[in-house]
Amino acid sequence: MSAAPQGPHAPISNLVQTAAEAAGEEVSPPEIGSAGHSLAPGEDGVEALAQQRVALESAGPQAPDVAGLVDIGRASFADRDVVLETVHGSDQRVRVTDTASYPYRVNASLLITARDGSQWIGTGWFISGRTLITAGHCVYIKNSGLAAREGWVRSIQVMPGRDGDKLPFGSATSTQFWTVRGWADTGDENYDYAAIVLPTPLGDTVGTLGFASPVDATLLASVANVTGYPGDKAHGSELWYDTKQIAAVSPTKVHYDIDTAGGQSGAAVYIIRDGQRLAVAVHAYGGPTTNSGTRISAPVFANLTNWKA
Amino acid sequence: MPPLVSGRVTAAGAPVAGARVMFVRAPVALPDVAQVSGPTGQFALNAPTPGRYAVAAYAGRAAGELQVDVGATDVIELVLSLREPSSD
Repeated sequence: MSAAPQGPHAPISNLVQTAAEAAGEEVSPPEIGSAGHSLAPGEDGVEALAQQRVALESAGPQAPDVAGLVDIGRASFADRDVVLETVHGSDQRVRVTDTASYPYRVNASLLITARDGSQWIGTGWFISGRTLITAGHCVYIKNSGLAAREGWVRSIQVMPGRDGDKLPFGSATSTQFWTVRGWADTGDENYDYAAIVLPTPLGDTVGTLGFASPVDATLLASVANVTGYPGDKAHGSELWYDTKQIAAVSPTKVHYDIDTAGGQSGAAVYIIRDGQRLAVAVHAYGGPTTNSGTRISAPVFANLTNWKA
Repeated sequence: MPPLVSGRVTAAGAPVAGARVMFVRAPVALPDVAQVSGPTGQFALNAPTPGRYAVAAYAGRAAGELQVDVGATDVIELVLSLREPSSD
């Protein structure tokens, strides 16, 4: 086990703590899982599914949806006048229909029940038999404006490989979560990541994504892939994919112009290297011109490694 | 307390449970989650800063969207009416 990070990355949990067995590594490799069938990635760091996206783009003229767009010169996360628009210009997401194949089946649709009984949707992804990674705000609600809603959520139903009403691997419900002080104490988006621990090892069947903490130059030269369950599509029950070059990085965040929508919080932002899918960030925020996720930096990597169960 | 945008999702005047409700435009970057409307169609989303927001609801092929201007301490109540896309 790696030494647990301190300060804002200090891990906290609502469960009675038992040591998670995990080996510390700089790159945690993926596992295909016992369910078998695996889809080979496409070329240039994207999934083969991206070909459909290219085909759509070249199918003919398509008027872009410019409603709500602002001049790019005004676009800044600190500018209160700019607008959030998590689908930027024309929507380039592609629906994943082969959700029972690797790597898509490692993604799970989340139905989250908060303390006040309100329900929410999000996305998670397996890193081990019983552990999924997601956004901090999917397991611990902060700054909601409603006191009864704040804190650890009651439960999360996890549905890997969901496609509409079809649950090819069933579902499991968790009440055991991890996040870090930096998120739970102040709701700082730089520490917005978490883990869901399941009672059953569904991840052994569906497989896992790897994860890694590459340096800035590697990230900036990489194409990112995001697959999740957006709420603006079919009740948030369908898996959708998009890909684009990483736009910017900071020590704690990765920014990209990949189209997303509410419900995709927690999705893996992954690169494909030597045939391996490696998560490099946890998608969490929609912004005016780019969307962003919590970067898998060294302390995040250490926590993810320690949270494997 | 940050301002709240709350209300009910309806279709043809009847409450809609299970709709996905989310901000689609806002003054700042926001968590990419969606609320599931409750048994009476109710929802409540926090708006972390004053400004102009657009809140949308989706249920199957039906959708509805409203734009609201939110003040520093406002609790906005609204009705989001869902409509099926036209078949044209």
